Amino acid sequence: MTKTEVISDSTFYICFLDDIDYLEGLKKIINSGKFKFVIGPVVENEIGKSPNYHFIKPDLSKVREKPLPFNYGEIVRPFLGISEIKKGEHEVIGIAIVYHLKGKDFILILDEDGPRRIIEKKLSGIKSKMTGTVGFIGRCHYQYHIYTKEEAIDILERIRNSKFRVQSHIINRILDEIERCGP
Amino acid sequence: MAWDDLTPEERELLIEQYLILLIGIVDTPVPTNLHLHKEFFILRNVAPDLSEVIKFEKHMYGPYSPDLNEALKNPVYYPDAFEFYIKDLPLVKRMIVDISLTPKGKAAFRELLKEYSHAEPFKEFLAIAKAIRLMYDPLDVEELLLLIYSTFKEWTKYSSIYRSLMAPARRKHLAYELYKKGIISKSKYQELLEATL
Repeated sequence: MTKTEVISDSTFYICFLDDIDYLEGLKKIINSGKFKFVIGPVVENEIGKSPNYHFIKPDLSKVREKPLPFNYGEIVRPFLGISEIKKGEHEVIGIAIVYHLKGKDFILILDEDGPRRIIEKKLSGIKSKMTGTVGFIGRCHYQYHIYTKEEAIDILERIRNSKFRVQSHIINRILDEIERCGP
Repeated sequence: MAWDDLTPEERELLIEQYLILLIGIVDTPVPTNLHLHKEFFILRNVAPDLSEVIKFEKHMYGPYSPDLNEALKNPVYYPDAFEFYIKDLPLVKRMIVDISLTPKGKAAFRELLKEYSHAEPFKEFLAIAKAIRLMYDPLDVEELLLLIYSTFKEWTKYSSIYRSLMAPARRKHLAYELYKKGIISKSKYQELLEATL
């Protein structure tokens, strides 16, 4: 079975590792056999700062795809702010653009408003591949069948009550989608 | 082959080939010579090995490569591969504009694809080159220079127009236009508003 490549910023991993402290939820996605995770060096460095990273590193390394040794983020560095660059948002967008131009199928998980706006306004070809962490969690239930309905709802509620930055109406929308999709 | 081992002739050949690839990867011409140099500058930041082949200097318009200039104007290995026009622009007089490949240049581009496209790094390089063209070609000269200058300040040392471009009214107007068009993030927009010379 072809595995879908997931290109994500560090926010997605940090959400599970630190914000909601629910490593099993992340491990289920990693070990589902449905994805390969494309992680560049800047994002890896960011995730590596989590004290919990070592719990998932062995599993993640089995399904991780290292991009070729180019500094992909440099493609878009002038378009982003320093704080976004420190977090590796430029790297994620750069990899996504190159993968898109190569005709690869992938999911782009981006949570930061700034980079998302650039994709929506200037990179419309990638827009349809983009989702946020909570959107991806919803899909892990109704599209990829990794989480049961109850698990997905539980994770979203954990996120709502955590320091993870997401507006409540977005969580509500994903909860509605999960409800509409049945058990 | 290590880049350090290249003879001057091999370097010249490579530069001309890179030039053909960057120009040929998109059907439309590179808008100006400034775009060409800045796009190559970005390309060498993406692929650091390139800096061993194409040298950049701090120039009156920021990062600039004499190697590229020579290859574009006087190609040795691919004569008559490139075409362009000279035009006076508001910010720059006698600027090389509309840089494209001639039919001979396009044939050379196809040959290079045929020779190397089995190699994954080459395909990746082409996608990167295309990404850079698609991101930077649509910028006008002022937008391009503002983004390059604000990101790579150390390369503006000899820039003759850095101060005028970074003057508050002009900088803020350009920053707003870039943000409104969705080219830069809000965080970058804020940085441009708060930038100091």
